[in-house]
Amino acid sequence: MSANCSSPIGQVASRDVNPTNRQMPMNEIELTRELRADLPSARANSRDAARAVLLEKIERAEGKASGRKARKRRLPGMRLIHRPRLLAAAAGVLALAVAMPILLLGGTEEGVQSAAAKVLRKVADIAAVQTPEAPGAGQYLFTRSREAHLEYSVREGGRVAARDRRRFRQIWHTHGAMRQHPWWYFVPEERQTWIGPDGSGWSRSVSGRATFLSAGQRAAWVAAGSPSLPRAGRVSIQRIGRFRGQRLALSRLVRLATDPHTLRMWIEAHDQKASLSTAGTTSVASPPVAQGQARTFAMIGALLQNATAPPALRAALYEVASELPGVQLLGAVRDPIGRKGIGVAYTGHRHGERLELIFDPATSTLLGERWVLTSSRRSGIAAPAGTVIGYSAHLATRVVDSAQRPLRTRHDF
Amino acid sequence: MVNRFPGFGQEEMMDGMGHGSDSEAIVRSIRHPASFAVVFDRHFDAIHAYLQRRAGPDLADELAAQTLAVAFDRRARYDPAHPDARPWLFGIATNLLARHRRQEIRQLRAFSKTGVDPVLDQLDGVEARLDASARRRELAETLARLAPEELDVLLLYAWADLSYAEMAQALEVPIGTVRSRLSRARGHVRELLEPDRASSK
Repeated sequence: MSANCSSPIGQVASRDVNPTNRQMPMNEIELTRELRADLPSARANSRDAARAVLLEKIERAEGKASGRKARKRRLPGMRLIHRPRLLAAAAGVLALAVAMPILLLGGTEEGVQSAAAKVLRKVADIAAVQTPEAPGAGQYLFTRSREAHLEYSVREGGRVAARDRRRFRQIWHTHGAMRQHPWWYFVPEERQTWIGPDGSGWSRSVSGRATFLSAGQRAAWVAAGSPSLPRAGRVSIQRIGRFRGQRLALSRLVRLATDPHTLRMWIEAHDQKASLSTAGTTSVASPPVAQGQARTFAMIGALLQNATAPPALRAALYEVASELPGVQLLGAVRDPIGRKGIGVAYTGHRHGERLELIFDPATSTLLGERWVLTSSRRSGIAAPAGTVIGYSAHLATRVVDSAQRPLRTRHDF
Repeated sequence: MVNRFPGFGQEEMMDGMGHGSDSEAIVRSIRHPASFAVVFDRHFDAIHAYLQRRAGPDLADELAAQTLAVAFDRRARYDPAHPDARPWLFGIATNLLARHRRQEIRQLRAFSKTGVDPVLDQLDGVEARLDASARRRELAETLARLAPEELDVLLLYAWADLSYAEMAQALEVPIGTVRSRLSRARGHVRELLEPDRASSK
């Protein structure tokens, strides 16, 4: 059969022919198309797993590109004590963590937890011997961080209202409803805080451009008429460190710091809303409404990010974390902006999310945290498991003199 | 696990329907690797569907992921004269699939002999019934006997809907080579349709 007969270029049009139309003589392309026609599309897991493989490579490629810059931006103001014993301990922590495989998906439950406990206890030792940065009279402790939380916007009676997921989640569970809102977008923020010697001060946040959780969610937003998104560049200045005129609970925590057991009981009993919003912490990605240990873990993360937490308190916080059952060691991971650290995580099953805390094993500094979706149904977010739904990254801590604090205050408690 | 890095400087990853062409995204991704995710979002499903149709869902899961990963590794060598990355990606997928040719052929032969398609069998929720069409079973046998390069071109044409020019780009051969391979493949399959064959239904 010669190449020229009965298959001219015009056969390209055969794609338009309905292959099930048996009246027309079938050609060989149509016959070929009958084989395994109409297979289902890829399972969500396989797509997610493939994307994870790619993201891992992207991450590594970015890490290489920014590696040179990152060294210049090492956190100023956090001094290391360069004793050989301490460096060996740091190396030991890192080696211990790296030797563990990534434990989220495998390994025995007990093995995973005891590995996490070991690492956390070592970090507690390192935290205890750090030199604190303390502002003197007329000075401030300055911190800078970057974070993002989820919001969605709804039209309510002709106006567009923004719903912050951190509060939405509370309302949900009060009413027992688990509606899935069709779209969420991230609101990123750059935040700076200035905290004086008495623990009070100011916080200044600048919002970034809202970005959708996925292309599908953006499409849903468009379909709903594109209700307006919060604009970028909104500045919010707040007084921090005082709540209703009273000095913050942090000083109470300081007094409890030597005993992890008492500290844990205090954390579990305390009204977390007050402490988180006013503690000058950099963690606003998602305050814990989760019950029990998920909430305790989240509070530990928030308090570790508080720049004024003294070494003894930080060590005690790591100790409390080491004793929480269910904390998992993630091993060597990258923080939300790509820096290397050791990650530990706790999965809050009730709300279908996992909180990852990533710290620098050499200094015990909490580099950042990441909230990751584990269950779409429980969280009420229509996105695959593994989607990041909030994060924060600590960028800098240093003592500055008073001339650098903001002069205008927009909000005051 | 998806989408780990939202926020600053990574907006492209959030907005999977980025407005640029594939080649713009790929060129940008040389310096800003995160831009490559757009390519994944646009083409993964098609690559996976093609690989699944040829070799089943399990191998498709593995090879589709590998295709995008390899593409990422090679992104600096992408020819920006092609705004659509689809042929490039299908070329990579075809090469990766070649390493599993024996399995692909074995599955075609099994279907031909038993009437039960192992590919359908691997899918959840799809009933791999006995296929009554003798002609389809013969098609499977014919495909199994085609030269590898003929099978590739025939299925890229019939299943992935690539044009001659796109196949030439994907397989890095001249367009005339594509034409002759496709023509030979079609010739073999056409024999199954001839009216004087006793088994055609």
